[in-house]
Amino acid sequence: MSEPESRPQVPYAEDAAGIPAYRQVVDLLDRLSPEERARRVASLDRYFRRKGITFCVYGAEGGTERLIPFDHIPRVISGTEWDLVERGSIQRVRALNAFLADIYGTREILRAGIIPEAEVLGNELYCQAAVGVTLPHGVHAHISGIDVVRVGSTDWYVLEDNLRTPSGVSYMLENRRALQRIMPELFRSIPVRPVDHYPDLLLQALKDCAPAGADDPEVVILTPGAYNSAYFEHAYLAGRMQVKLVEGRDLIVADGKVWMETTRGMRRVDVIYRRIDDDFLDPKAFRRDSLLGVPGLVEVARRGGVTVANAVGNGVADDKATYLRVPEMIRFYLDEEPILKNVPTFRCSDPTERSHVLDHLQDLVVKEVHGSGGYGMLVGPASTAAEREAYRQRILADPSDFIAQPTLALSTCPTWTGTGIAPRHVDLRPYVVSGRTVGVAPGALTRVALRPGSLVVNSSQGGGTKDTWVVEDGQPC
Amino acid sequence: MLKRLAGNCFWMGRYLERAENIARTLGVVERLAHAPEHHRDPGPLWTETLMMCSDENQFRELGHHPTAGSVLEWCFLDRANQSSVLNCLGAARDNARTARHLLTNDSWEALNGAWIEMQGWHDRVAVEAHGGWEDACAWATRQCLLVRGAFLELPRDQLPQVITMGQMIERLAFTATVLQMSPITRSGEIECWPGSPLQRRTEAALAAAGGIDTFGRGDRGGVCPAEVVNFLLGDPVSPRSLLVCSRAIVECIVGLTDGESVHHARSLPAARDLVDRVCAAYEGRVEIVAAMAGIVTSIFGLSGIIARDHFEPASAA
Repeated sequence: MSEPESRPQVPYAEDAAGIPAYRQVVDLLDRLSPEERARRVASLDRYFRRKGITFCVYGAEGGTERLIPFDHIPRVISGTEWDLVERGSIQRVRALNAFLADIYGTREILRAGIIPEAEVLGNELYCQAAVGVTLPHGVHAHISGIDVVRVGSTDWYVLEDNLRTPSGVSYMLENRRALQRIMPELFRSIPVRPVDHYPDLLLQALKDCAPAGADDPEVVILTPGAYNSAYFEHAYLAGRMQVKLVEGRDLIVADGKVWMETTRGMRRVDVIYRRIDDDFLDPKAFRRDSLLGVPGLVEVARRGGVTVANAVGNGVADDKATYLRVPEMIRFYLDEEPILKNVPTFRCSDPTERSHVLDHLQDLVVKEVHGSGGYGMLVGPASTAAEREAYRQRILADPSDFIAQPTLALSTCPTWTGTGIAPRHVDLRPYVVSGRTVGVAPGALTRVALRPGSLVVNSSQGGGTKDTWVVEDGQPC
Repeated sequence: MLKRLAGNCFWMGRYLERAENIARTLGVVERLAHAPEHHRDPGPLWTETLMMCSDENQFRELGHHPTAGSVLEWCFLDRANQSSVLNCLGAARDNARTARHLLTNDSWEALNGAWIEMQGWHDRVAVEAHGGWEDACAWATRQCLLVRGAFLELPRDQLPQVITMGQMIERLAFTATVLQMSPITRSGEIECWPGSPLQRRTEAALAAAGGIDTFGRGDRGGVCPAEVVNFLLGDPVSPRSLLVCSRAIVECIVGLTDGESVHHARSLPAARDLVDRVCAAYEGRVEIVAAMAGIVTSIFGLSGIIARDHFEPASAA
């Protein structure tokens, strides 16, 4: 049953509460006739298709390239709120980078007993290849995506940290361009902080982290190839940063360096922004059957002949078990109190907490510790008895593989449903870039759960995206 | 630029040129088929077209018989035909996608937009809705020209050189094939009557090779077989002549390698040899039809040498 056409009222979503700019947005959209609105929405589709802004879904019917649904109603965040999210994200990434440098170095936090040694050294994502390596500026996570949600009108929580190969920034950038194209009148009246300089921030950070002695560092983006789900982003960033987009087969290791084969001979590579998972990065160091990686790359990186961004071994810091420890990391490394809160989390590895989880499956969201993309979760309130029983068995079989969190009353945002405007749950992913300094472009990727009542925002499971506006406080209605 | 991407862009150029050549030829033949000499038995005309634009054996093995409709659909739309206009555009687009970050937005969107539109063309019903075969072929030709035009805005580095190399290889091969197969090359006539079947075939050969507008602008007299053959062989200002195309390939190889012989040890001599063959045919030192067959074989050999010299990883050697 489709939702009835409704005259939009602000605020009709918690996210819109108290933000005058939403009224302006809705008023402007209201002035469009249904035909004009439909024409503009259709032109959005054409824009994305013509540009090839797609993602690949493996095994999906209807071809491999799909558009990510884009909602033309932007998410608006006040400057004050954004400053909080920005400071909190930067704080978090500084602590996580310090943690990574520490656990692959002198392990002070383990020695201090803040985190049990077994929790880190016994984590299957703890990477021996990263031990003892000192990286430029101590940066392991050059690009971090911190997923945050607002609960109620004021509280921001971190859902998860993404320190391996966080994706989605290209959609953040192109969503802005798309919306400027089809709704230019919105931007004439509402000053939105620009995000277009993100590729410059990123390139500078990557160059900052080049090996010593690389005067004019050659930066490349390493992609698995054109059939990878995020290939558009790899190509997009290479184009925006004016760097080469390489595959593993373009690179060779020789004389302690990495080289790429060009039409005019070999050229040295100094920084590799890799969008290949650790497992496939180097068949000599990890999976021997990988055809995507570069044999010998990890050893060159260990010896300082090349910088790999993000560094190998970051998975230990962004899995859901380590997530619990981040507030303690902030206190330990930065001597600060966390600005952003963690979602209360139960560890199934702990007998008491596991018992609570098993008794309250219908009320909780249970996730795999090493999972991602929204797959493998149990959303208790939306599950059947059979699904909960199956999940119970999985937990009992391997408790340390699972954590659980209460369902949050995630904020919602006005979203176009096709027939009217209705609230839909959203999250936010700011991208933190770490080089000599740590920075965030004043925007983020807003992911929206398009199905009514759904909490799953991942694009691979039917989620969409919105343009994210950071506006100055006190903008007139 | 990366060798792999240079190879992909080379093939993008080849597929785009191939799509344009085939689309243009189909449109030309569709018009020519209206002439009275083809009314009673259009089969030979369409068989010749099939041989020029496609793999005739594959066509027949699939149980098809050459008629206007079957050849048009096979050469324009059929996904089983690797060289159909649809598949060529798709292959060009796939190669372009791997080098998306090197192309300008305009050139990518022009190619991608054409490909997207053709995805909706499943059969002749879609073509009819577009105005018929001649309109569809003209549209496809125009799209390829637009993409080529957008390539003019690429930075003047190696990228346009590899694309041009691919285009010239394909153009050379196609024009040589037209000369090899067209009855005008054997006729040797230096005159033909206006409105005669021979004149129509001569104009059609010129149009299929993409030279009809350029020919008409020069002070060349009328459209007659000998003039047209000479024009397609060696006119120094026509972008379609074999001489201009083969020389362009030599220039591209030199430009690609900045003159360093270690990078073009085999491809440059092979390209120069091709220029010599074209000159020999143009100067009448060799029989043209046989020369064209040899040139087509040389061209594909040269393509392989270029790939080995410039696009294949040295580490694979």
